[in-house]
Amino acid sequence: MIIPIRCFSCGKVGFPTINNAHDSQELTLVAQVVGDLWERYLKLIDEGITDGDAMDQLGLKRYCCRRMVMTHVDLIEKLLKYTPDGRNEKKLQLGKDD
Amino acid sequence: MAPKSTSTSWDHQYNTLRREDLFRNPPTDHSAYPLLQQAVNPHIESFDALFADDGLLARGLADIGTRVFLDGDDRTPLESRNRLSVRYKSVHLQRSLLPPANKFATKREILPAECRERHVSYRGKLSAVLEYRINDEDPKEFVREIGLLPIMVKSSHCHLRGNSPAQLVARKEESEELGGYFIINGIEKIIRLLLMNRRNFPLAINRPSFTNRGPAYTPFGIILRSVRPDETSQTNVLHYLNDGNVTFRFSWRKNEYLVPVMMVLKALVETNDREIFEGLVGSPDSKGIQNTFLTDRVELLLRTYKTYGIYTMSQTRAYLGEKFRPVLGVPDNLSNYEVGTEFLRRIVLVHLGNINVTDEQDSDKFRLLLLMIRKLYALVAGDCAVDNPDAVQNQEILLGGFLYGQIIKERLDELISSGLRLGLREYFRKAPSRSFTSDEFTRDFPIKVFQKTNENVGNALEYFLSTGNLSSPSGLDLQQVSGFTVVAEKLNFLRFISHFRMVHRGSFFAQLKTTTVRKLLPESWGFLCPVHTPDGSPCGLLNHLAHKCKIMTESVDAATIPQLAAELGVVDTSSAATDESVVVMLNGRILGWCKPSESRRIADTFRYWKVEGSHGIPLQLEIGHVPASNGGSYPGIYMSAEPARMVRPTKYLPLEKEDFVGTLEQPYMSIACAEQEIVSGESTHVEFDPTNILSILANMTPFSDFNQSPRNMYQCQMGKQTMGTPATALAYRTDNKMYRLQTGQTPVVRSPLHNAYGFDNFPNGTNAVVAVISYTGYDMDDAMILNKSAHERGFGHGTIYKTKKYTLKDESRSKSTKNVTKLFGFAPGSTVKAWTQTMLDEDGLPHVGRAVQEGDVIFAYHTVSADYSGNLVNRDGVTKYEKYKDSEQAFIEEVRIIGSELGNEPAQTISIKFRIPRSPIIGDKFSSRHGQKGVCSQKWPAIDMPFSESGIQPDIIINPHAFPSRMTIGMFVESLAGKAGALHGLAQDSTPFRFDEDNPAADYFGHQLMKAGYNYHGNEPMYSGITGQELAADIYIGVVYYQRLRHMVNDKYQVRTTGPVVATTGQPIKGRKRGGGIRVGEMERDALLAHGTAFLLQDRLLNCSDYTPTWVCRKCGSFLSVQPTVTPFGGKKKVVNTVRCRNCARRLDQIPGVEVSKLKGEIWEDGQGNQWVGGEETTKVAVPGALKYLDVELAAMGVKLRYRVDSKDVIRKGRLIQKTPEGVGLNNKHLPALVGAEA
Repeated sequence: MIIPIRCFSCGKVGFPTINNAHDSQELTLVAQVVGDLWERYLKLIDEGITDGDAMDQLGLKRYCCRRMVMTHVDLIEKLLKYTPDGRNEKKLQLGKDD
Repeated sequence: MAPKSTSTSWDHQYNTLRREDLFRNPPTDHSAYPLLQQAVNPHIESFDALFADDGLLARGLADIGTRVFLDGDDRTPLESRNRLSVRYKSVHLQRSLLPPANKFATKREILPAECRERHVSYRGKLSAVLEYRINDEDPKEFVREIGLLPIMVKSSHCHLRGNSPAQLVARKEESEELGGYFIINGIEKIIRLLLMNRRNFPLAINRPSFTNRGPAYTPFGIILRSVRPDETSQTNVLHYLNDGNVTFRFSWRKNEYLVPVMMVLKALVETNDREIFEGLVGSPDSKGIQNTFLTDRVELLLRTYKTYGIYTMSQTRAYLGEKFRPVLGVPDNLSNYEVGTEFLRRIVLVHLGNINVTDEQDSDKFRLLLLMIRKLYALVAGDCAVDNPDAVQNQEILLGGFLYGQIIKERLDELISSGLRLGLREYFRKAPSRSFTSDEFTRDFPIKVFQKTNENVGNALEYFLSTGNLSSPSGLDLQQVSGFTVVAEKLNFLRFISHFRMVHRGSFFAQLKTTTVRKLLPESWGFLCPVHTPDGSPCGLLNHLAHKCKIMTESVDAATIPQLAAELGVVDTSSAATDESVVVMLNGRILGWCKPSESRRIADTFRYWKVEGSHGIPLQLEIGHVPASNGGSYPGIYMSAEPARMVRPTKYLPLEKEDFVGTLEQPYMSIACAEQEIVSGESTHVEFDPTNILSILANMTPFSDFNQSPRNMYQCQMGKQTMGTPATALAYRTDNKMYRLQTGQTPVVRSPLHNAYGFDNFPNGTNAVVAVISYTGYDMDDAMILNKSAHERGFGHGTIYKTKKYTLKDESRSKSTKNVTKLFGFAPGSTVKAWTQTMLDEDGLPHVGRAVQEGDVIFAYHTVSADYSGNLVNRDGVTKYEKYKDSEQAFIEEVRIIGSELGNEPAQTISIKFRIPRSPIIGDKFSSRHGQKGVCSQKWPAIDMPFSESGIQPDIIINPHAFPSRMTIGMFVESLAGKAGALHGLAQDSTPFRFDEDNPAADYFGHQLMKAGYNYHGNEPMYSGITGQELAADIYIGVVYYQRLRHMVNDKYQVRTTGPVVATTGQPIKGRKRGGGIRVGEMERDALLAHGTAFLLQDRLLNCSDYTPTWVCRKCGSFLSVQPTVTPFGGKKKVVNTVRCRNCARRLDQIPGVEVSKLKGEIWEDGQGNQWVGGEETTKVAVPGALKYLDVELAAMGVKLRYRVDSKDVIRKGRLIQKTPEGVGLNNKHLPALVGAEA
């Protein structure tokens, strides 16, 4: 439905490939999860990058983590079509007021 | 710029962006998955065929015709009685709308989603336009409303018809809503497809049960199921008799009738014996005349008929009319001749003419009947083989809509025949002086008379759909009366879609002891899936259509065929010798005859033209060319353009174009399975794809050609039991029980059809990293180990939604309880306890999102009654509560308040949806897509799981022993392909039959793995998670799509220590729901005995069952005579301290001259205050409660049981000596066991 936060098997993904060595310090210490990768993955393949290369760029090395992103079905998009009458509009309205 | 049309072509790739786009923006033009709709279309089209102009119902009404009633009674002469003729003009179905009595709603239409949510039926008003006429006056028209008819979703009378996915979503449906089902009380029901005998085709049958019809009957017969244009059928059978005679059998209103076939022949046309003889045998110069077997029998046929002494057509018809007048239900004013004509119209070969039958049609019937007799004689002589009624070749499909129409037609018929007759009789019984011509009658006629009839046709159909039972006076020429409908369960999408492709052989065959009907026959190739049938009792009876198989739902136009046939050399004269002339038939009508050598040419020419699309021959016409053979099927060209046939596309080689092949023609054609198998000069067709023979589900099994075949069958079963995504419009569904998987994924390994059928809209499983090791011992015997951390991260997590409907109204059918007596909410002014306040909202309904346990209150209600002004007031100030009864914790997901359709009543019904979270636990069932199911036996901590060099730990460990005997190589290949696919970012095409010996699958995927830096064979070195040492063997590990099955321990576990017992015996009750026990049955007992586990046996059968400490009298050995004494000082406390035998005791006041001080023993008192003495020799023993029960039962029959409590009491063998027991004390601590009982 929504992408799981962690890879089922290993719970983490590899360290991200970092070009900039200066601010890599804290990043490398943080264990990455797959939960934040879905939007980035979509963006990458939207740019015409193949599934495999997109996953490489996201730092997904092991096949356990790769299948998490690659085979994910973001059903929530479909489910959100069925919110009760007017709730969506109300939410949008609330967003505008802020 | 016009928006781009939604693409409908799919490959096996992930198409992630396209899919996401479809999710976010449902197409506004058409669905992206047209195949899905096509799979369901036969249902919808068959329903649409009913109400079209010149639809099936219109044709049915023409067949019903005019009903004539006469007034007065039987004694009055016919001429003076008035005639009332009634007929239907048309029947109309309205869409589902609110009744006009509802004055509140502005939106009048009722959409299917609303019906589901309100637990009501989706139906529209059905009305009939009738016309009546009294004597010869001008006809008058009137309209009757005949109930609310359930409407098939997405049919021509459904609001959803033609809606785009975007519109469907706005109407609270799935974006890919398929329709094809009915909504009955909120439940989706479909009418099953049924296999029937092929219509209008004479089947040669050898059935031993035919001999039961009478002394001379033989097993030989010809069955012809004749179908009227309105899709109702009438089966005609010819029986061969020992002496060579032939009888004509039919059943009418569930009764069977036998008529000499000669009588039917003579009634049909004005004929003579010579014409019949030559029609059967052939002209005097033909070869047929040399067939003495035939000529002998035909002669006898003609001679024996002489005894009736009926010669002309009119005589014969009058004779038949006289005999069948009582059963046909015809008006009195018809002459015998007319009744005979009616008989022929309604019963004999009705497909050749059933309305205003012309002479030409009668002659068609005559000629077909002659052919049937000829085929029967050929069958008896052994010149032709029997036709197998179990082969799909001789079958067609009864579509749901057609059956629905048949029932409607029959109900309509009933309404103006027997219904109206009863109505009129009732009317004239009250007013005998009136007649059809009297003024009162003309005033009263339609309305007052029809009110007395049961004119609710819609209700009858709703009953049919909700129960699946057919209540019909005629039986509709069907072999079963129940099991026509099933619930289209939305357990997951695979199961749902399978319901529409399901073909049942009929429940009659389910009871058959023989298994021949279940056999998979080669004729089924391409029509019925060889894989997709359940194992167990419905095996082979419940089949599924191959995914390319199409069912014709309307006739194709074959009007040019007779002319073309004549041009190709089809002649009228024939001979019984099949090497001389063979029949050419179209839709069960004989076009003529041709030479066998010509028949192939004619058939081939027709086929060429049909594929070419020239000469007005439709592509779906079936040209069954049965070649002449030595003792094979009866030869001829049998063409069919009718509905209900199964057809499938193949490639016609001469034109390289698509041709549709039917079931009858296929066995006589040469269709190559693959391009390389084409035999020059023989093959005329080639399959488009060998996977076309598989059903939708069987196509989803990856690499199914690598598996042992039963495993693929198991997968078809388990795919349908998977906890997947049943629907996405979950918020608007109220199914009783729905299973849902939280994080469904799309499989890495799949076939292009996976996308074409849009299965990514409803994910059904998860890609799991599976290692094949024997690791801990917890994976023995199909158990599997789940990685505990994977589980904690959400692997396989699921949810169950249960919807319960609570109504305050009496659900009973009686209409007396129309008044509102209860209302939801707290009674005004009543005190509400704090703990209920936390559970319920102010309106007395539960908070959405609240967790409920067993015993929690879920809503409050109170009683009301109307006061003087009609307002409902509560008078007792008492609030009542409904409790949550399930033992499992649930959360309130949705609460629906359901008002009445008219909007004039306070809410009386609510429906609550509960959500039960079900994360995988030990005992839950999982399976791969290769029939490899297993039960989770442990959730193994990740730290102790084995890991590979790249640090991967498996989600699931299965035992290697699962493979050798089951040979599911497909699972190995899937594992390889899945791993390679994940590494390279590929979707792997798993269509079967794509690899062969020269380029094996293992090579293909092995190379991919090698490229990614992995072992070519899919093995990886692994390290023990416990010791950290490398395992001696490399472990086969890869990515396999796993399904979580709906069988979960939480629904199944049954445990009890103590609990409810059966009152009579004291044994535990049965049933999981009621906290009962599991029976240790006879076989279990045998096993325990064989093991010598006496103590266990004692424990199970007695101590844990009906162990009952019981008082017994040692002296008289009876359970029944003992009773506790009552002490006058004990007060109200009932303590049993002393038990005495009343049988052995003596009542004090009955002992003459009693002297209390001299009595031996204590005096005791019973409940009535009587004083007794003696009966002290009672003791307590442990017996089974059932024994005491047996004693009571036997006592009721006058049989006394006597128990010997001690071995000392055994009656000594030899001379009988009266013995008194000694040293007997009451000792409750040590209960002596019973030694034996004597009756």
